[in-house]
Formats: sequence, structure tokens, C-alpha cells
Amino acid sequence: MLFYVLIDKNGAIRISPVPDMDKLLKKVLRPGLPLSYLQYYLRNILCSDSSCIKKASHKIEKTIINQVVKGLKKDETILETQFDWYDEEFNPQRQLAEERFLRILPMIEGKKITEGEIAVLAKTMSISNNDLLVTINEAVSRGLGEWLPAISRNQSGWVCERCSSTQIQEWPSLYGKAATCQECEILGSQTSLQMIFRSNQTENNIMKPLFHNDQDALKERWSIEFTNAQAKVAKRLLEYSDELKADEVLLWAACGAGKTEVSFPLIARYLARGKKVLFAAPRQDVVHDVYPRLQSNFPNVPIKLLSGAVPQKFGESILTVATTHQVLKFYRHFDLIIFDEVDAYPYSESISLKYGLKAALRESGQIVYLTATPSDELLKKAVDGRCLIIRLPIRHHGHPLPLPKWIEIPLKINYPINAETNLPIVISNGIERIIKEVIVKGPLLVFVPLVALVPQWITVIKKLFPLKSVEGSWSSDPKRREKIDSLKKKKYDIFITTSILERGITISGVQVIVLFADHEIYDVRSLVQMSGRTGRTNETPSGTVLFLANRETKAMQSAKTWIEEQNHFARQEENENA
Amino acid sequence: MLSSILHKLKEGVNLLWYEQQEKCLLCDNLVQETICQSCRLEYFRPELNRCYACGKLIGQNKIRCSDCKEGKGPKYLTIATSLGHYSGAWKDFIQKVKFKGQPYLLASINYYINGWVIKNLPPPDAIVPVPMHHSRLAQRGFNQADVLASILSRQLGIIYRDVLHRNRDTIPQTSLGRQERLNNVLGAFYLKKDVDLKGQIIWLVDDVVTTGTTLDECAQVLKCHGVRDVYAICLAAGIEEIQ
Repeated sequence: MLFYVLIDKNGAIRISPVPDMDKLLKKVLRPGLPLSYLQYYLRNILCSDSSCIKKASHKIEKTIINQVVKGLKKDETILETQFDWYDEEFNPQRQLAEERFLRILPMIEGKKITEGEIAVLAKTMSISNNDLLVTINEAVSRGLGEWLPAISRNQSGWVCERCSSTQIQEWPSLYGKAATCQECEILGSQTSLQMIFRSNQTENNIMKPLFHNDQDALKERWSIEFTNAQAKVAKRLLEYSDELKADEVLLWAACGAGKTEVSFPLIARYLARGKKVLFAAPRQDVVHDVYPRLQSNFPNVPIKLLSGAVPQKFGESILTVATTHQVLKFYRHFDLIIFDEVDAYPYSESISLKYGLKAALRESGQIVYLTATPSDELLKKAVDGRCLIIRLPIRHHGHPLPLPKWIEIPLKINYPINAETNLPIVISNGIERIIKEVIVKGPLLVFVPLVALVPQWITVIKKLFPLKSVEGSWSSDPKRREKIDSLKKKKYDIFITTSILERGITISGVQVIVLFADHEIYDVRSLVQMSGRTGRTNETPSGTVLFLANRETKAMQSAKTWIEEQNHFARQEENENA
Repeated sequence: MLSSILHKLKEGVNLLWYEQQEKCLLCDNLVQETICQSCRLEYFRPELNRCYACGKLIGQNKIRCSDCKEGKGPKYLTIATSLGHYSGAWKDFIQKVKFKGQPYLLASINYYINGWVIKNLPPPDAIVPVPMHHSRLAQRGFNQADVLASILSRQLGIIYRDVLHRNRDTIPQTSLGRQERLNNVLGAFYLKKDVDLKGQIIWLVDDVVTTGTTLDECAQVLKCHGVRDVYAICLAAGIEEIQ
């Protein structure tokens, strides 16, 4: 989108995408340029706050043209650099409708809106793109937000204004150097030729309280009945929010301890006070699993679901459930963020997503991290006292976590397997025997470290067990969601999968085998999580976890230690409670 | 049936190469090449002919598509050719280039496009991109046909000449029917001042060809100014139902 430099009636300099709608207009520089160029070339003339404004001196018109032309030439533009100031009157027939302004305001509050999203929002509001731009521009001139280049430029390079990434692909454009952000491309790509609107944190974002009385947050009937341990943790979370001792809390729970539900009373407390709450997780599967649980526990609260799998809808809401990627669309919006599975990929490895979470939180806001396997980074924070730590080691049914067992088997990752070839007889016999023993206890979840191994092992296991129903799925499998639904309904005897199912899923009676458990992609956290799929329900509180591998890695040993330690804590707690 | 065979092939290829850490540009599967063999078979369809007049993908025993046979196609192009079929991941790739600010992706496919045009077209005197109207160029920041033409020019050592001008911002052709397309681009192009192309052979470059009306308009302008032959190159075209 092109922006124009204006000098208004008071002699102040402004930048606007809709110069003919600007009521204070006096002179406009044409042609327009993408915002990143204007901001960069005129950085010593414009204030850091893009909506304002330095008083124009009498020579300023010439200086601006000179700087723009000089900048473009330095960037080796192929544009004809003919710039001029024009006296223009604003178009009074297209005045801003105050009614429309008030209607749009809640839609843009607390958000970052990209050029691509302008068209979507305009359609939602049944107005033209231009009318929407005029309205947002009005919000900018009233100080409610800012126009920013989608990718900003400074002396040292490029920065994506949505995800803060500096890993930017540069390319030569008509104007000169341009850039595209590859980090947050999944949300729709952004280039330095585009803009983004970013809302400022509003003074008063308190919505009308949903409940009149929040004293009963703990006594509320939740969809699961809290065990003593759960109730205790829920209470501590509430106390923490009152005391405000730290901005961040880590709730370290055992797999299957019911940590998600434990956060509900805290959510209820915030909602009751009219504050905005976000429930975030790095993975779609987790988000889609939590959404209906929140719906049934907060039946009177409108909940917004944001993930790459559902069409985007604009609108305000007090409770939002979103993947961490979608969180990049918010700015200083939430008072409380409950962040489930904080150590899961891709969040755990992404600087951008970490930035996004912090940017979505209001300055006075609080974050609660939920996980069974906290990262070293989080644990360090807890040790340093920057993050409060609360533990929930007891599973909701009170039984200990099943301990994984290593079975030595000479598995090699690079066997070329297809319908014609066979595994070495030692291996296939071994695996057949192991599976036969385990499968009598319940359906079997088999983890493999690589996507390519899923179809291979479906073939192998089908051959060994022709009478069993064998299926599999992986991240880019188009039938992933259907298959996982069927898996939950116990339609398969043996299900082969990758790390996509390592967390967040509960299948009653399931047993776990990890093939190639010594593979380097398995760290202690994924091994603990995979083990944690077993024994999650009241009917089947125990289960078998087998690590099949050539050798025992450090991660495999640590996984055992972590689980033993968690069980130890659980026993301690129980003794204390008794 | 064909697609299931291709799918099997694709799986086979994946299994063979899964240790490599390079991703196929189109299907994300791990391969050693920029575009994997199964994607090349699926989208480039090297076994099919191209309609001489409009570049559309057609059956092996044909030289022109049925539209062009009935005289509805372009009249000023000597030969038109297109690298692949405008569908699936190839279509996504072109849309990424055009609409998602990633023109640099074109550089990574130069091997395939170079090979294809050298095989199918005689050497030219100059290479000319289909121009974009300046107001759209100002918004997008680049003309993908221009990027492609300059890549070809650099790689093959052919002179690049940006000699055409688009004087109207036409509606995107994709949204229109055949007759509307014709009216839409009629007279939209002219030759820049003081350009002499008499007797030359020109390669005209665009991203996607559908009916060929845009290419034909450009070719007509070039031919009116004495160009001997105009050959058209596109990344993608439609396909004619093969009986």
C-alpha cells in the first residue's frame, strides 16, 4: 500500500494512506511510496511515533523531496524519481461517519491488522476497503494505534513488525531493496512494501463483568470433580493472582494430572472481573481439544477459536483460544494468558512466538505456563525467582505414572522397507513377540521418529498382524483429524504415528511402544510425554511403556528419572494430605 | 488411476531420499533436487505436447488445441510454450511469487525453465516481458514476468529489452470469459518510443497463459513494428481434456 507525506493546515508533517480523506490536509507529496521507504528516508524528520509530527519549517518541502530522492537512488531504484507537492482539498463528501468509527473500534482494538486482513475485515463489516482505511486512519490520528511498515527497516537491517524476526529474505523491487518475512509466512506473507496497523494499549479495556459474584470460583461445578491435590493447586493459582508476587507462574504437573481444568477457576476469576483471557498452546490438536472443554465449562461466555484450521473471524471476545502463531495477531490485549504445553514445538524453538506471547499480554498482565515437562529455560527462571513454581505431581486417579522399560533390539533406521523386502528375522520376530504381549492389554500407540517411517511400519505391522486393524498418521496427513477422531473411538488396534500425538491426547487403555527410542530427535521431554499417554483414565490407570532401541541414550535414562521423581513427589504429597 | 500411481511413485521417491535434508520446492518432501521427480511428472507433464498457438497442454498426437483449431486462439505468435500445468502445488508456487511477495523464488527454478525453452524454441535476438500497468506495479513492487525475463536473459546471455508499455490497468484476466478477455486487453499495449525491432526474433515472457489474448495483443504490437517472429514463454497454462 502506498503512503503519502502530508503537510497539514497547522504545518505539521503526517503520513497517511488516504490523503484525499484527511481533513487537515494542505499539501501532499506525490507519488506515494510504501511506508517502509518513507519512514527510513525521513527518519530524522519524522518522530518515532509515526502519527506525529514535527512542525514544518519553510524549507522542509524541499528537504523532504531531496531526502526521498537521495534514498531511492542509493537503493538503486528503477522508479522515475519525479516528486512534487500538490495543494489538495479534502473531499467533504466522504466524511468519516462517527457511527462507523465506533462500530469498527472494538474490531481493531488490541490487534495487529495486516494489509491482507484489511480486505477480510472490510468484508466482515460490509464496507469498502477504502472506507475501512479512512476509519483506521482516523484511529491513528486519535492516537489509538499506529501505521507501521509490515517489515521495518533500520540501519542494521530488517525487522518484521508482526513476529519481530530479523531472518528476512531481501530482494530487489521497483523501489529498491525490499524484503519478505519467512518466519510468520504461515499467517499470510508480509513484505516491506506492505503495512500493518497496530493498536495501542487502551486505558480501559475492562468489559462488562460476566458474573456478579466471583467468590465461588472454586466451588463452581467443573466438568471434572477436583481431587484434593487439584483443588489445592487451583486455590494456590487464585492466591497467586491476588498477591501478584510474580508475573509468571509455572504449573508443573504430571502427565494426566488434569492441569488444564485446574486453571479454570483462575480463568473464571478474571472473566468475572471483565478482564480478557487467552488460552494458548503451540499445537492445533491441543487447541481443538481444549476448545469444547472450555465451552462446556463456561457455557455463558462467548469463546473465540483461532487456529490455522478454522476460517478467521473478526470480532471482540473476552475468552480466546488460539495457537501460538495466531497470538502474533494481538498487541497488548490480554490480562491473563494460560499457556498449555509451553515446551512443545514449534513454540519452544521460536524466538518469534515467544515475542508474540509477550506482545499480546498487557503490561500489567500475567502468564500461567502449564506443562508436564518444563524446558531448562523455564526451570532456570523458576530457580532465579522470576517465575513462581507450583507442582501437581499426582494424577487425578491417584495412581503413579507407568515407568518406561528399555528393550534392546538391533533396530536400524535405514532399512529399506517396502512391501517386497522383509526386516531381518531377529527384529521381526522380536517385534511380533513384544506386540503380542502388549496388545492384550489394550490398543497400541507406536511412535516413530520420522514421517517417512509411518507408512513403512504400517506395512511391516500389517504383515505381522494381518487380522488387526492398523493405521497411522503424521503432521501433513490430510486425513489426520478424522483418523485421530477414530483413534479416540478405539477403531484401531495399532496406530503408528510421529511426535504429533506425543501430547494432549487421552485414549483409554492405550499402551505405548517407542520405536528407535534412541533417535536423536527424542529428547527427555518427548519421551516423558509419550510415556504419559498411558494409564490416563479411571478405568485403566496403569499401562505399559516400552522403548525399543539399539542402545540406551541419556535422554531415555533421564526420562525414567523424571518419571520416578514425579511419582516420588506424588507419594510425598499424598502422605502430607493423609 | 494415474494419480494413484503417481502418489505411489512419490512415496517411493520419498522413501529413497528421506535422509537428504533438502525439501522439494513444491511438495516439501525431502529430495536432492529443487523440484522432485514426482512433482515434475505431475505438474510439468513433459510427455504432453503444447498447443503451438497458445501454449496449452494437449494430447501427444496433437499440435493445436481445439479452440485454436477453430481459430479462436492467438494469431500473431509463431510458437507458444508453457513449462507446466497451472494446478495444485505449481499454481500455489506461482501465486506465492505473485501475491505473497516472494519473487526471489523464481531464481530457484531457472534450471527447469532454461532447459524447457532451449529445447522448444529457436534462439532469439531479444527477450521481452509482458508489461504491468504502472499503478499495479507501484502496489506490488515488481512484475513477475519481468523478473522471469531478466533471469532467462542473464542465464542464457540473451539481450533483455523492456520495450512494451501497458497504458490501461486491465481487470485481471482470470476473472473473465474468452470474449471479455479479448475486449479487456484490446489496445492496452504499445511500443515505447524510439525502439527498433525490425526483423528480430523475440521471446515474449509472461507468468500464466489461459486463452493467450494478452500474449497475442503484445505480439500484434511487436509484429506491427516489424518483428519477424514472436515466441511466447509461460510458467503455466491450462490443460485440454485428453480423450
